[in-house]
Amino acid sequence: MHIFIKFLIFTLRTVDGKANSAKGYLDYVTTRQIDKIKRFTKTKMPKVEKIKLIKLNENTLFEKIARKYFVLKIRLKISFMACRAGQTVSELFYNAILKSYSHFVNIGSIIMKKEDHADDENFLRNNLFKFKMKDVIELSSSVHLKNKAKMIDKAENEVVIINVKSILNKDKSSALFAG
Amino acid sequence: MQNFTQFDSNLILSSDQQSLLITIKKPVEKNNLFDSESSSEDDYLEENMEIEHENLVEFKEFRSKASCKLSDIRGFIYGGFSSRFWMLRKHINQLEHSGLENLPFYAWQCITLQLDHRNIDLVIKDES
Repeated sequence: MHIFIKFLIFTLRTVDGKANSAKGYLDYVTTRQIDKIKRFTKTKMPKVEKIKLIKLNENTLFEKIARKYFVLKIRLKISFMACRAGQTVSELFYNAILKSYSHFVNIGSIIMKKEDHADDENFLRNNLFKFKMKDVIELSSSVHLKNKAKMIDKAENEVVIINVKSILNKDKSSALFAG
Repeated sequence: MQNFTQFDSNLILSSDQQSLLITIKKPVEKNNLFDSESSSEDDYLEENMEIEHENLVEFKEFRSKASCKLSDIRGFIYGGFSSRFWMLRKHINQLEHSGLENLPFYAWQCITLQLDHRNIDLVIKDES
């Protein structure tokens, strides 16, 4: 399939699947490069060099497009994996991360301090493969709320400090005027 | 909706490199081998029905009507996104999870060639 797609890209000179869609981009790039070379060397570019440059640009662009189609193939496979598992793509990724994390913890590659992370470990053991998108959203939102509360506390403290400072300054200035 | 052909087919570039040749191996029924012969063959037929049935069908290679010139191709769509695959996708989405194990083909094996007068939907499983 990949060979056939590559063949089609090169013969149709395409960027998005439609024939000759790469023409505009290639013309723009080659004319710019030729102009640059002209300005630098201050001589006319020979025809052979021009053809070489055009071919080089074509090859680099079409190879890039072929790679993008290959990525598309991988993306299609990932979405099918998610469909087969009855999950969304992000759920599939989260579960894969959790699975590999617990695997490395079991092997001993990742060392967890039992006192600090006993709850986390139990949580992982109990909820592995049951982790759904809903839980992730709830978790993230709870963390976000905690952070928000911390920020508000911090901000309130700062406001209090500023107020105290301003009062002190006022006292100082009034004392000066009084003096 | 048109059915997909389940036969083996080949995709070849012509010798002048101007057209894509698609060949299909279609079954062709052989002439009845034992028509002219006596009833003694009947027992033989009963015993070896399966083998004879296989022998009665011969596969011949035909040039598909989907063969086209390269200059006629206006574009291509990779993946099962064209209208014919769209119907299959709807069907697959309604299947249970157990039904997803043995699917005839997958989205990454589908490609649609867009010509002026028609679309050619291909499923390429082996890249050999």
